Amino acid sequence: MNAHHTGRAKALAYLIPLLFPAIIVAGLAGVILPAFGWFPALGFHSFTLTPWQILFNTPALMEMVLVTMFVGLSTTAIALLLTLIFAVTCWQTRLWRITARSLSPLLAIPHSALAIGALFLLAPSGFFSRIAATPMGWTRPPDILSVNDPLGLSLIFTLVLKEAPFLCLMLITAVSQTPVKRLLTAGRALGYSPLQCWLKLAWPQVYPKMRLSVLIVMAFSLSVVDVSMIIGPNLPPLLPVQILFWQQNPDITQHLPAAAGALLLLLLVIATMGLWLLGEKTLQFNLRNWLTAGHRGGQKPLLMKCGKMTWSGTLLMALTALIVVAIWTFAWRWRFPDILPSVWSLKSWIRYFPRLLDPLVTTLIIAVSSSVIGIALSILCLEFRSPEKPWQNRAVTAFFYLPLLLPQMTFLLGIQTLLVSLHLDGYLVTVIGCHLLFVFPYCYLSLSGSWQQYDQRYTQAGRLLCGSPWKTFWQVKIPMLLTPLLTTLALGIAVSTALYLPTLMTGAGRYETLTTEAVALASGGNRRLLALYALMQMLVPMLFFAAALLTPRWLHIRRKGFSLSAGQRTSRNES
Amino acid sequence: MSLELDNISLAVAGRTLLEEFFLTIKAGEIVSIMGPSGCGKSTLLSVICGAQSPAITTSGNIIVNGHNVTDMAMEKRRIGLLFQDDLLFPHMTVNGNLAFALPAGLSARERSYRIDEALAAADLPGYGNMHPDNLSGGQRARISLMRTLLAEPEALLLDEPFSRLDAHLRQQMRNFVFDTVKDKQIPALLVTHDRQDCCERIIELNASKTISGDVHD
Repeated sequence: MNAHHTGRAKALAYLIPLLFPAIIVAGLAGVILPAFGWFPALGFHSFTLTPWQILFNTPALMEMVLVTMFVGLSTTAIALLLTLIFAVTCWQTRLWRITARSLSPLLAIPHSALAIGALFLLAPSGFFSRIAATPMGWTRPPDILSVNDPLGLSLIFTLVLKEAPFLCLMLITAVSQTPVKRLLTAGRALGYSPLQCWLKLAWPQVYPKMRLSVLIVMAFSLSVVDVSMIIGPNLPPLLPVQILFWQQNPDITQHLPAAAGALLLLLLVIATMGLWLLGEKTLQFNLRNWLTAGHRGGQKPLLMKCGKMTWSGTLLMALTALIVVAIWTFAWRWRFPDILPSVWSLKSWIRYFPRLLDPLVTTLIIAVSSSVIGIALSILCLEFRSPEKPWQNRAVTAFFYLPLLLPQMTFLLGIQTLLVSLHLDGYLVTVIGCHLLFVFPYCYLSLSGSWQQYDQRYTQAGRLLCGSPWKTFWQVKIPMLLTPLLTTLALGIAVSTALYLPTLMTGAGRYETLTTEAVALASGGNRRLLALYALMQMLVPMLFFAAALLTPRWLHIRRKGFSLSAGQRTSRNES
Repeated sequence: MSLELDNISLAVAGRTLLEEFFLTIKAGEIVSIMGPSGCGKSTLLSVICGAQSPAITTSGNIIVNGHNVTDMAMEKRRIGLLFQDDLLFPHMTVNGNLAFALPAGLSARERSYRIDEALAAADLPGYGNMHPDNLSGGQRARISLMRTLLAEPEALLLDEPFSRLDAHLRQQMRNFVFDTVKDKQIPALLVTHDRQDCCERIIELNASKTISGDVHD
């Protein structure tokens, strides 16, 4: 590579991280202007407060806002509490190791697929009712509002099943960066029980490292659309769902209150995060004395046992939801209150699988393209940015968290407004580009660790031996980093497969992916078809993760075999 | 006060580190343990304070001030532990760190008095509201020792507490710790690599053989 090319690549490497927040800021601008009545593409040329008047005149708006806030805060608090329970009760136990191993596959599953599983568990004719039917004497599904409940309890349940494992993964990472073992030893040597040591010494140091992830969970829970459309609440819906309804309304005047609603959602997210941080400070202030009052606490074995059972129960419920989805794809006759189907069959697969092929291919095209581009851009950034400037790396990382901390609905609506204005909506390239907005940060964050750990001396040796930076890059560095690259590809595919709003809003309804179809089918009554979609949603990322795990092993075995046969050849020649 | 190790044997993954080890440390006495890496010095300390990993098999009795603490949980043994690094809790002030070690149920006045006393003993009066990050290495080490002592341990284990300090600070800290131990009349067991750290009695561990003797200048 000559200096000219290197200079260009360097400029790109610095430009890309700036481009992404710029798109998001443009997206925010694209929502602010229509919120105040200015949307030239739809024929609105003057600034007015009418969109806000329409918004505030919406029936049950207050309920929508309150339930959205309740769901966001409750999900975050419960998921965090479960994470704390996991930390306190499972530290240095077998359950900790089992959890650490099972988190990645669980996190690869799209939210909507898990929501379908939760629907199959919680519905009046769902798996839980079937288990309860015999002791309760039910012969018909009970008349209870176990899903689509107005308070969003079923939604909270579903989100917790997905977000608690995410926070646990973040906890495990935070624990690995904190001398927890030594802190606990120090605390216990001062006479404190392990429980008190965790609460008073380890957690206050681990939590700040997880705070950003907690806020991401909160932002997601406050702006979730696909899960809410599957499991409720419906009457009234959550604020982000109502915004989507306005946005999809054929009456174009409804686009303006949608923009005002999206802005309100942004304010709601900021206010709720502020409330959470204020709560943290208040709690910290009030617990100051408790921290140093000297209460050593007892062993509390029963409490520890209950904690372990609670965490095991959470993992078990997530697993059960996924198993029930798989069962439904093979169930031909599954009458209430049977716990298992009375007739098993492949008929659903034979009948419905052809219907799945188009969405599957579209999903794969979008997911693979966005992930490959995401990886290529990440490599460009990592290769050409100076590692000696940590503040730059921190700033870039902060930029990447932006799409995760802001409500998707808000800036996507703005991006859609811009795309409509530029007549760029509805193209596959646009959808891939929009997916890239979410896939790229994950690719970058996933690869950056391995890139930093790579021993540069291999590259130096390669360049000295062959004289070509390109050849060294492709034949030395890339094969050595194959495992993280494949894992990142699988991660990117998992992220893209799960995306609902970006496909829907930038694709102008022309592209059906597994997720958009699954969400659309959720309100229908065909459980077998719905289960098939959910299962495919799970299988796509899982297959890529399995490939990421097995390919390097297979290559290693093949290389070993090759070197063995080469060795045998040599010894034969010698003899 | 006394610390007694009665017929202690240690093994890790079938490899014997220590066999039939007997030791009695009297009040105010400091016994030093020396030996090459991997001979079991730190493992012995972890066994005495009850923080050993399940991979270590042990036998024998640990007696603190006449009480057999062998089967007690770590936090019940009343054994203080001073680490290589000070391990001051960064989310608490110096006052908070010291208060953390005090027993519950003391009046606010008593707590404040004891903390001030500890700060004065560490020659750091007026440092109570500072955060550990703002202290020098030597100041942190002294606060760490005072924190350990405020918990009123009946025996003290010192796991290479001077190894990270520079030569000048090391000498200063050594004198401070030894004087404090003698003053408080606590039996102490010191693990070290440096013969200069050693006090009255030295025990040299070497591949399951133990040699005990006096310090030679």
